[in-house]
Amino acid sequence: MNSPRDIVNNMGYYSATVHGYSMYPLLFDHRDSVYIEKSDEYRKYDVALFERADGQLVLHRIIKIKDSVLYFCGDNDFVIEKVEKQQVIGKMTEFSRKGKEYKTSDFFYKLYSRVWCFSPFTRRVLKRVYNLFVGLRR
Amino acid sequence: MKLNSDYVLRTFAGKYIAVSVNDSADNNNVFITMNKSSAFVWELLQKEISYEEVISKIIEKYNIDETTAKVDLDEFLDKLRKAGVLYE
Repeated sequence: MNSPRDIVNNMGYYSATVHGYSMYPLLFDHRDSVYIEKSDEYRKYDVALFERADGQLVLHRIIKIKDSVLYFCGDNDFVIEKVEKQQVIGKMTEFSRKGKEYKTSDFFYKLYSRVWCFSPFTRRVLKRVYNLFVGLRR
Repeated sequence: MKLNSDYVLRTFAGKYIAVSVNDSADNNNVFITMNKSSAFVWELLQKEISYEEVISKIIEKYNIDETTAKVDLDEFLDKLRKAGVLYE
């Protein structure tokens, strides 16, 4: 089969179900799916798909960009990963959450991105509050 | 015939895309893009249904002749077979 990179290069897009919890509470393992588009331009707060040196695919959020280096962090992580621009496959432009589709241009999604990823400290606080009320309930 | 229930149909960027929610697809990057009429067939195939029943429902919905319906359906079923998502 073709790799996601080949698919994005050939078709311009890629779609898959999310695996793992690193983008929780936005995306939930084996429940939510994403639509990835080929892109030349990446911005802070974009969620993008990239390939690690060992070939593993990761979908995380860009929290900082410096020249050709992008700094990624999962919404549920605190570890920042340095990624070269050529490792990036495409960016998430739409996604489905609990069976409902959203665009990354939607107001509430943007608000969530800005608030949740404002700083590691505020995220820790928000995470506590979120888990208190919602927890890992599906 | 019936579809493998490990797939869910989503609408992204105006396209109908079926993605796998099962672990078995973790390594083969399977997603199936289809048009609106194929998505209609996809929904019919969620439950066990015969080829003839699908044809009659397509004719009823799209008001087309049987030959055209069969050509379109065969093409789509072939795509599903190749993706290994159709039980017959």
